[in-house]
Amino acid sequence: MNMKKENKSLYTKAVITIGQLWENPIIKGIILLALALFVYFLPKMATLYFQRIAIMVAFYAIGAYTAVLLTTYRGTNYLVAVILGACLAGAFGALLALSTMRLSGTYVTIVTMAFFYVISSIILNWDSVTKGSVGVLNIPAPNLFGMKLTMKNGGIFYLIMFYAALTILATQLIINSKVGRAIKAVRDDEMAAIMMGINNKKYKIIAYTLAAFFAGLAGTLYGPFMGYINNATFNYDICISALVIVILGGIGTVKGAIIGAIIISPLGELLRGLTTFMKGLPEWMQISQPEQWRFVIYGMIMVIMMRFRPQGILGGQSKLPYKMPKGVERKVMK
Amino acid sequence: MALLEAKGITKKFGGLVAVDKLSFEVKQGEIVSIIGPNGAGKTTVFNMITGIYEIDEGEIVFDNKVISNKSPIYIVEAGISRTFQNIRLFKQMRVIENVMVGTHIKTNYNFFDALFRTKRFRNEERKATQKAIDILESIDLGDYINDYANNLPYGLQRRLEIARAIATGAKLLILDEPAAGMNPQESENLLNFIRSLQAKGYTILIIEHDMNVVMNISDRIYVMDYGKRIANGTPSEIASNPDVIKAYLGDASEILEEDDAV
Amino acid sequence: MFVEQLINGLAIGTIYALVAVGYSLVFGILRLVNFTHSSVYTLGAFMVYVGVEYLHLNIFLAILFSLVTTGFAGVMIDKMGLEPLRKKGASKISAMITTIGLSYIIINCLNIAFGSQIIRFPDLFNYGTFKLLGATIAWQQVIIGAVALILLVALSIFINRTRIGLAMRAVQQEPSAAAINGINVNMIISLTFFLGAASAAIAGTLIASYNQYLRSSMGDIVGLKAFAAAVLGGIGSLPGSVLGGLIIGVSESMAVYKLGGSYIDMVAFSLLFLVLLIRPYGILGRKGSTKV
Ligand SMILES: Nc1ncnc2c1ncn2[C@@H]1O[C@H](COP(=O)(O)OP(=O)(O)O)[C@@H](O)[C@H]1O
Ligand SMILES: [Mg+2]
Repeated sequence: MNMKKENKSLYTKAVITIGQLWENPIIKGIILLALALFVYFLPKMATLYFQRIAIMVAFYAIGAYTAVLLTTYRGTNYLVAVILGACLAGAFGALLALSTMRLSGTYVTIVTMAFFYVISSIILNWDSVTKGSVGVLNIPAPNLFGMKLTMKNGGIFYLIMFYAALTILATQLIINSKVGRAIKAVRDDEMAAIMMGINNKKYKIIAYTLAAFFAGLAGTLYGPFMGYINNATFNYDICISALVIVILGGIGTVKGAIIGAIIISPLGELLRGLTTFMKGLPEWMQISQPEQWRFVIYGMIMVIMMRFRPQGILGGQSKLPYKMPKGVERKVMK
Repeated sequence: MALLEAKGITKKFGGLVAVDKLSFEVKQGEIVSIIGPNGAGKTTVFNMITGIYEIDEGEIVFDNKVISNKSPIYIVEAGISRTFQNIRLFKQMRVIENVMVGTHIKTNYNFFDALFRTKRFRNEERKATQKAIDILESIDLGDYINDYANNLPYGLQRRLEIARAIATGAKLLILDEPAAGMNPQESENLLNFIRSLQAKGYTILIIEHDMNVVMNISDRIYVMDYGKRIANGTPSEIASNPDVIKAYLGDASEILEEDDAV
Repeated sequence: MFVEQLINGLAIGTIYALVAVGYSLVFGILRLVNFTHSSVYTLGAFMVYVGVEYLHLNIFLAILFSLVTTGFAGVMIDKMGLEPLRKKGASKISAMITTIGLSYIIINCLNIAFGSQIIRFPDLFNYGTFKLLGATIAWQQVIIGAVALILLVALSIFINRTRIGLAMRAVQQEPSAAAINGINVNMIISLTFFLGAASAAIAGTLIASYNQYLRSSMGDIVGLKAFAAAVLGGIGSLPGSVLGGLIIGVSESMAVYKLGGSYIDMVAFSLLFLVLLIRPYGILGRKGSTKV
């Protein structure tokens, strides 16, 4: 009896310690992962991954603020706030899809960038609600059916893992269905997709809404995890981090997004560690400004990947055979 | 009773009359070809039939329904499917996925069925996959199911486009230069395949430059020049028609050198 | 107040236009949104600062120094970053991501070298003020606007009247045909990058002198707005870029006049949004015909 209990607490301790060591990279990584995964869903109309990510971050911010404001100032139930946050982000996704429907290429690029910009501008300037650059402090820990999930008891960690699993599962279920195929088809060749009887507008709206919904969902995690959010939480840097993850891992693959997140997320901590370590070395060998170096490295990763492996480490075409549903057979066997 | 009938259809691009009061018909079970020099307006006719272009004048009737100026989606659902002069496959999707996109309108389940993997989802998905495989087998693409469309050789890509069109469940297939870029062996195979489609009950309207294909396969031929119909008849009638010969000799070079406007 | 704001808007607008032209030039030739442009703009201003502060040049030599180095940087961006991709036949998206990456490298290297805080920059055109229609107008604004305008005119004469400009337009229209006619396409592309970068450098210097400070993030918003201006006017069209720049500059300062400063950055984008809803190809842009 006693042994078991002790074991259990040891286990909990271990989880907490690992969690604390890696919590920043892992959690941020997982949050970014959610962004990266659904970036793939946005149709070609958002020509550039970067724009896709910028709007994903905007949706992410919408989700985060909705949930945080509701739980902190209204005392709304955590689950309700999360659902509202994700849904509101989804609604903005649909709205953006509708308003960019007529535009092509470069024009979509600028409109989506503008969308990102307008959202951040509203967050900064609408003080009375968003608290602008001061931000929302003392965000309460999520309360799930009477259980408080905090950093201390590892609850947040599990919650985030759960969301990540949910996001991965949802992408898989959708990609491997008629809906996912239609979205991919519209992205690959819109005209040909229309000629297959696919309602291009409908699927663009679905794609945007889904991407926005899941970005919003990821956003609802950020507040409870950090304890505060402000306008600077949702800047270009986070867009760039997600972009680099996608580019490194390979767009359009779940594995790629995970690998990218694993490699990229600890980089910031690593460089910070390196900076401290180098304090002892002669001055010319020191690295100051680890954040700036991080971005220089991000830039180099982008340039190098585009030159030598634009599909990413794991991206591009799968070598595995197509997974057939049960009960399907080839009649002529050669 | 004609399956497809165009009555005096006209399409203008600014000052250019690309298709000029054109009339033609395709009967159930026929293979009909439209030929004519480059720029004659053939592809434009296909774009009018499939709802990509609006029609300025005239009317198109398919299966007793007026389909002119209806949406492309309506037209596919009515039973017309096409291929493109410039291949337009879903390049980053597998061969089987391309054909399964073709089955889209015949696959009956919704988003939530997919999310919760309901029984309906599983049944429909199995049916769609089986249908895709059967079509691919019948068109000799069975060994390429797992490949990505953009890795296929040119001739196979053309065939995959036809497979995809068939998968929509269309009664009428309209093929825009299916033999373009094929070697003689490949176009011979294509010829046989199109015949086998006819035997299965498909009706086929085809634009083609390869005279060997056209003369061998067509029940009837329409000849267009400058947007107008200049002749129609059986292959042997067309071969001896002086207007056709004139139109073709006048543009001999262009027949050899096809442009790349789809 | 109104007249002051109008003049101010026109001055800023011509600078937006000058930056927008750089986007348009490169877009016209490569069909590519060049995301390094805003960082090149920042680099240009910093090079003037380096010239004055570290090389102890007088201001005109420092500007010349900046023009040459920044223009050269523009050429290198193409030669080292983009030309290899073109040779490989890589996708447009690869090229655009490369420009985003390069832009991050440039800005953060500036950050590492000079820090991210504000650096004082000399006011180059401090000639006091004058009265017009009862309004007090700073010479500085007039001069800034005039310099930008002269450059725009010079640029358009260069492109429309000279042989090299003709070659540039030929490459824009039909790169393969231009190559057949003996035009060195890569040379022309390099030249385009040089011109784009040099005009961005001037614009950056003008703005730095107007604000009397520099910082590594100064290009972020201006870059975005100039891009918005290029799109608003119809990207690829020079008159369009100028028009777009002026419209955005003036409507921004009018917004400040009417609504106060806090929403200034949203004006450009809201305007863009509206215009694109009505004219999806920008004011002077033409719809590219898509054949099926
Ligand atoms: N979208 C369009 N806009 C303007 N002109 C077009 C368009 N599509 C086709 N055309 C013109 O219509 C004419 C007929 O073209 P097309 O139907 O492609 O000829 P074909 O298929 O017989 O070679 C050509 O002159 C072509 O340039
Ligand atoms: Mg044609």
